[in-house]
Amino acid sequence: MLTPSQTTLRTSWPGHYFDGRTTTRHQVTITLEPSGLELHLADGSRSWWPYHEVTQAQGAYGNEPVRLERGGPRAETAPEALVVDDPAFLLALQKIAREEARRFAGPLDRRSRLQVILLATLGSIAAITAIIVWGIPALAELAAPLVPTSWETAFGDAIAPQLAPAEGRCTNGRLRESVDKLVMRLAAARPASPYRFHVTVVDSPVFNAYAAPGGQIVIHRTLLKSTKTPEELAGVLAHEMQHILQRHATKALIRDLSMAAIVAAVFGDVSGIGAFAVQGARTLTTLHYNRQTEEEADREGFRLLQAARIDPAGMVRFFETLKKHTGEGAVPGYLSTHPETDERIAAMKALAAELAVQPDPLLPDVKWDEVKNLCR
Amino acid sequence: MKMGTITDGITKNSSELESSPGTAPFPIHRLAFHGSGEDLFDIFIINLLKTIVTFGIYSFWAKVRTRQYLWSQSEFAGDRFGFHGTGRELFIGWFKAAVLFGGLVALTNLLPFLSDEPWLDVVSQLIFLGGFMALIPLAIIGSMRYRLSRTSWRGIRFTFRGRYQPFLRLWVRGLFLTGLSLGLYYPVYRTNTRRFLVEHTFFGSAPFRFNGNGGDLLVRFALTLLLTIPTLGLIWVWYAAHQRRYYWDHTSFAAARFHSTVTAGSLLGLYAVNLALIVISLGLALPWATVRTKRYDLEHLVLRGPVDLNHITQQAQTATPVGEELADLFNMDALPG
Repeated sequence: MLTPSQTTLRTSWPGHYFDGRTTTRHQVTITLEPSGLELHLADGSRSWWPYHEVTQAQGAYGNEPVRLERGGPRAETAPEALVVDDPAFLLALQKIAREEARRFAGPLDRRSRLQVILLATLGSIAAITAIIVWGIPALAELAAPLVPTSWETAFGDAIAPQLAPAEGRCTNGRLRESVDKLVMRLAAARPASPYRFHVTVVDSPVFNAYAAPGGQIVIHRTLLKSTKTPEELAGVLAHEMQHILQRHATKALIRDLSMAAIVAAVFGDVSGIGAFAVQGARTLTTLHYNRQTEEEADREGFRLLQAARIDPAGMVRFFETLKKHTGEGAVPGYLSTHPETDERIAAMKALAAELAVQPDPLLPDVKWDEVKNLCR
Repeated sequence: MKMGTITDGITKNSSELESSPGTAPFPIHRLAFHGSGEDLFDIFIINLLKTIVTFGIYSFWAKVRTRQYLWSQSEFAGDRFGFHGTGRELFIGWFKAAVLFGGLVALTNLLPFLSDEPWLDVVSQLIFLGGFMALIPLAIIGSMRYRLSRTSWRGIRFTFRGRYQPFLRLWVRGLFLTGLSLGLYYPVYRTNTRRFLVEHTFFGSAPFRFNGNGGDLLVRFALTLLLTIPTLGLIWVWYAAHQRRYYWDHTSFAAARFHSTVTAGSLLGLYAVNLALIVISLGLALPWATVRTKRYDLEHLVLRGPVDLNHITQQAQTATPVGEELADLFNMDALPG
């Protein structure tokens, strides 16, 4: 029974047939039937292609002839092919074949194409944001515990001579003794830690302090001199020790590697652009991640001080000193990757309000004003 | 009539006759690229989303989609090419290539831990270098085999029938002589490699032929070397254009010969605009740059002469994509130029 729409549809189309054995181009007339295609070759022979055996190889994009293939399911055997130049053939095929022909698709019209592009673009942006904000940090948290701490220690020990060259170290006995006592008091508050902390004071005019993975901490003499009490230095050390305890360097490395792997997968074999994109992504995300890392080191450092019964007011005071330095523009190295000092002070005051700890005195028999100026 | 059997069904608009006084007319078969940057961008952006969401696993299927489009939009003498690879086989190929290369890296990194002997360090580095050198020709051969075996025209597959060992010998000997001659041997070495790759390429049962001789490029190569610094390296575009013309003009198929119309000026224009497009768009214009390159490559190449297509029959070949993915791991293109 014919419906009105079928009566107006064109069911006979000219095309070319390739048998998959020779390059000969056979003229063919194709008749569209509800369950398959009937092929009439110029030599009079006929062939029947049921739709479920037919796949579409070409014709889904503009400027492409429609190409249908049959047989050759394995990639090594060539299928028979049917090529029709008129794209309207697909529309007729879709109407006549109904359900079965849904997978035969021509080029999208302009509007649906714009919608697809827009959706894919928004989706990509959302996915990239989600990966950067949640995915990669979550992966780093999961993977970092799998890295043996001995690797971190070996790495830290290997780079220590570069960070603190022997000739630049402050080796004064009294200074060393005071600093070591301070570190021991802090470390005793975390007895289960797998790291052995070692602090080196370096005679450098740059206002800075940093931690290498595995336990090595470096304090520059200029920073040391600016501390008014041992409690202030303890604040700085607690912050740096938390970088080590929280394995921030290892996590940063995992983040960098996974980012590079994703960028490489997205850009495929275009290595130049890939490298360019990795660098860009690193620059953009380093700021974001560093802020989180520093906030964590502040917070956990503060708790470490409380656990060691050291007055955390010293840490807050040190940040106030730091703020003054910022005003003078004297501490670019330390501040460039750190959050706003005001925010940090406010966050610590909030922590202090949460839990009041009765502090024990720190290095009561050390004249800090004298000791902090010693070097050799 | 003779022509009827010779060109057998090649459509009129894409093949024409060129006649010069005194000689018989012979047909010209053109290549063309019909793709558009917009269509490729569609594919690119959807591939991007799916690749990100699957943490990179979709990239193999993405590669297949991109190739299907690029192959389908490439035309020779009125008919389109087809790409028949699958994402699944590329994924498996990548896995094998990664194991092969990863195994070499792991082996040569762990070897020094076996004992404290200092010579073990040297030996493991030599093994790594040797292994790497042996894997590069494997990657080239493998990706030629894979790519050609998955490419069809008029339903007939291409094949690559070169074997690994002779290619490895050619490769190592060429590198050695290039080093020994302080680089001057390079065009000969490069041309020998090209000859090997072209002469083992078949369309169905019919081979391609190459009769170039690296010696023909020597003078130009030496001149290019001399002028590299004064021209800030730009002279290499001139050399690349010449080499490309030389290689294609010495490549033939059946009784027909390829002819390339690439010039240094147009090549430089192509590179400069593509670079500008990619940099300004932060990579988003990559599809347009790809389309420009494809169109340039195909429109500057013709096949002149009679081609007897009636005697070409299907000769299927199995090929795994291990070499293809190995080539990708090393970031190289099997047949540049």
